[in-house]
Amino acid sequence: MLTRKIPFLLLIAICLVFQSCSGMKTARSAGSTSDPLIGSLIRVNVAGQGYNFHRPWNQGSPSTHTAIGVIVQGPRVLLTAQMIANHRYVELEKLETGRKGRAEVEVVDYEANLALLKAKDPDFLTDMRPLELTTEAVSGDLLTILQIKGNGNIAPSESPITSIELARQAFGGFFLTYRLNGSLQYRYNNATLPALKGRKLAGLLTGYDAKAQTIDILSAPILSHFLKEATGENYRGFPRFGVRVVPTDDPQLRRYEGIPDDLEGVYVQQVARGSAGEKAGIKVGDIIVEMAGYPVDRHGSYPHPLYGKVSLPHLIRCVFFAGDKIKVSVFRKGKTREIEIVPEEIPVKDFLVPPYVVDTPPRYYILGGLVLQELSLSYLQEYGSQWLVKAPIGLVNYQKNQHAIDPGGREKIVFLSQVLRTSQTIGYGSLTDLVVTRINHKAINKLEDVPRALETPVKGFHRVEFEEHPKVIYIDPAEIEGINRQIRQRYNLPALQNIAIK
Amino acid sequence: MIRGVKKFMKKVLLNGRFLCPLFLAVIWLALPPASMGAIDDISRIRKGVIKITVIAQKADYAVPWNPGRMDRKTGTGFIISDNRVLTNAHIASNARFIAVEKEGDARKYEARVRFVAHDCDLAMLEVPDRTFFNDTVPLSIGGVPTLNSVVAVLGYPIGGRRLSVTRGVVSRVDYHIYSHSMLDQHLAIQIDAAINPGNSGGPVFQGNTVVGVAFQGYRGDVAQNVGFMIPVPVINRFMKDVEDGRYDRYVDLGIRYFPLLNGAHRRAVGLGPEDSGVMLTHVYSAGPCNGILEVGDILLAIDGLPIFSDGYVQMDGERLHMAEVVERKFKGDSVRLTILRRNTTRELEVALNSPWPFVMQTWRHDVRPRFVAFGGMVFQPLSRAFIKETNLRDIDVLYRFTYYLDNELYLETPEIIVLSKILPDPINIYSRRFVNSIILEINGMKIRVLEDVSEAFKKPAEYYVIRLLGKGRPLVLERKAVEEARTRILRRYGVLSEEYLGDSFVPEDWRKPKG
Repeated sequence: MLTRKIPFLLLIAICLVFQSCSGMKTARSAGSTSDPLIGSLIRVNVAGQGYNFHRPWNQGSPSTHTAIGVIVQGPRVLLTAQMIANHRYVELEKLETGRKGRAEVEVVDYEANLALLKAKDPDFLTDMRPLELTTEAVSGDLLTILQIKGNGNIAPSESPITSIELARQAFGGFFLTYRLNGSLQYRYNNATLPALKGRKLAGLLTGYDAKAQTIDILSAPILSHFLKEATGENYRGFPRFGVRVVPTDDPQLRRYEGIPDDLEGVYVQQVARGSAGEKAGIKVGDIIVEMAGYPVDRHGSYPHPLYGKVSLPHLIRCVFFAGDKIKVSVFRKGKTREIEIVPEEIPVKDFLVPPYVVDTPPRYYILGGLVLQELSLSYLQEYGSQWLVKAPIGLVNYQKNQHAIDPGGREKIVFLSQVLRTSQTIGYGSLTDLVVTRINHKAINKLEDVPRALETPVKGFHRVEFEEHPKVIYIDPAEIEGINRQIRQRYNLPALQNIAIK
Repeated sequence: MIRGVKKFMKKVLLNGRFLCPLFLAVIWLALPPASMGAIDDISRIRKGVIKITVIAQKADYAVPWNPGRMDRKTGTGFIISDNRVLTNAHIASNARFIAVEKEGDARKYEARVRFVAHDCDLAMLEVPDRTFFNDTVPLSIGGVPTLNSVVAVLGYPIGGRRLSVTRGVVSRVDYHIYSHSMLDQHLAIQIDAAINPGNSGGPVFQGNTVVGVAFQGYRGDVAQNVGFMIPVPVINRFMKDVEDGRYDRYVDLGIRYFPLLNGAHRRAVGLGPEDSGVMLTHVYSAGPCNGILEVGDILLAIDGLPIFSDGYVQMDGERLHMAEVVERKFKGDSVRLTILRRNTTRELEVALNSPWPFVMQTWRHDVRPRFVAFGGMVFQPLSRAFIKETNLRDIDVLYRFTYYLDNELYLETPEIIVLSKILPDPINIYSRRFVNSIILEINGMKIRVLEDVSEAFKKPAEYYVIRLLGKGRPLVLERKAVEEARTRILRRYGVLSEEYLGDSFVPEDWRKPKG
């Protein structure tokens, strides 16, 4: 009844106002040229090709994928390392213009799953806006995860942080991760997505479970440590103490070891040979009660100003840098004493059994049909997802216990993975996965030792010794040329070895 | 030396139940008989074949104090001279009640195990009620049938309740793993007559004599028409072994060798291109060749028989694995080895024995699981059954099981003791993380066998400090707390006994450190 009384002109005016309001909303939600974030993100197109560790002369199938990289100070592009693993060609693509430019990997840390790219053309990124980092996110905060639509526009999703804890990364490292509850739009599926708190970078997406609706974000403190190290002279990664600790929550253990009721702290269970911890004088049985001014509780956590209780490994590895001097209070035989530890960088390539081999082909040397390789976790993982049961237990044991065994001068575990069958290798064809100890009485501590040992045959033969049955076999040096020729012709191998001989 | 190959034929099975494709039976009926010579007079010999039903009680390694699950098994057996019955060990194993039946008699008679050989899957039963043997025919044992000759299998397999006959030829005579122990290899004859669940233990005939005992086969989806029988040499050895009232196990050389098939290898060790010699790669310390043979020795002959480069010898007109020479020997016998060492040939005499460490890796039967329970913690020694039945996947444990023999781990630790489970109680809440760890020491006492664990916990002490492999932090149990919790834990979890220390495979003189 009232409507009949509203003047017609007023009605038109109201409609016009509504029209313009909705028009404004549309313009904002398109997030196009008006959204400044566009200038801080870039597509990274990666063409990669992996390797086959069971056929080390083989390359894998080439594949391509796209990540969303974040512009950081430099200007550089920050993204997760898993995106550029085994890359052959990396290209940057601007979102607004579609303009492409080549990129180079400047720094990569596979353990922390982070990589920094540089544009080949120094001017390519000058018009981009580097994002600032914020390490202030806490549980309950909303993070905005940015996806990019096909047309280059941003599609943001907001989700709350439900917990903050150390979590496993793609290549086995454990680092501080924000766990979120939420969902992402499948249709804009890209990998490595930035997560923002407000307008600042809080982390990079490393995992998403659509069924469970959980999102894992590699946290800003890790990104910050990485970037600080990356701008230094040499990248030294996340340092190590070489000390393994366990909780002292067991009252029976406490009474037996004479740990006072009110003393918190963790029990040192292992000190790696030659490690920073050993050099500082830490011993098995010590109770670490305080580190860098933070008290350590009996469950293995320390009080973080932002997150509350956090596991000690975070303090050990991600707060400090290699070369820093850290004061540690240690309780031993009824007395507390102060020890100074200087954590060190231990590059993954120096491990006896490296946890990953990326960006380089698996090293091999074929001796008279015997395929010799260096053991790595990547070789074991080639046995499939059930590798813990399917891979040879002797090799799995080396990988698992490498820090506990005495390497005896070995830098790598050299082993025979298989024998290529030719007329001269009859009788050896079934040999697989045997650790090589010596060739011609010379210890084999790395693959380079193999060609060196071949310079001195024993009584006219190459004597190859294994850790287990058949213990020793022989190759006739005069037959090697013929074997190699057969291998090249019949098996079509491009090369019989790929190690640089010094 | 024949203790099994690394990659077993995982599909070998006959104790389980599988459906034999029916069409196979149809094909057999449809074919006209190739020769009537397989069995001359079935009406007579069928009176020597009997049906055996066994109620067995399986050991429970997951809850070792449990009485164990009851299983019903059926198989076949046959009567031989002196009122004895032969069948397979896997039918008679773990038996709590055995019933035998014969054709034309409704009654079931109780039988007992007289001798059992788990390392070659044979058993001898006796029937206390001698009237069982009225109107039966004792069967005679023959020889080794030739390749392609016809044989017939009599027994009580699935598919019906009355006596069944299947027929085939001898397909192959070779060494094979006997799946009952999963480690021992002996001569086994492959035939293509259908052998199905229920045929186990039954006689295989040629003419009127028994030429084998049907015992295992392949699942139908893996291979067809492949059945195995235990040949006469193995049967005869078993019968001879038990003549002294006790079964003494096979003797073994206790070595590992590598065939010398590669030309360069042969030249390097000083052999010509002729087809002989194998190279020694391991001498087990607990075996008879310890101190006599060395790694690197070339074995040229055994008891005068030249050894070919693949490890075979020519024996009884057949080419057989050299292990067959040792297979026919008994405890206390010797064997003569001709070896080449550092370019000199020599003859060595070896007094054979049964290396006890091999038993750890076999499926054991007619034993109860060994264990010690203390403070809610259960300690058990490693064995094949323990690993399989508890589904243990721990790398350190599996590594030590696999390399127990080749790395001679049994010298330091004849029994590898694992903390297998923890019955939750306030006194052990913080010890959960130690499950599946291997015990090294208790209160400074090195643990070599399970008896050491029991002994260590019986010694009075304020604390029991247990050191575990790979764990720098000890597991500490306060004696007061354990005593206070003892009855509570036993009652809550229905623990029937706190330890079982019988059925050890470690000889007395190896339980304490030598020298």
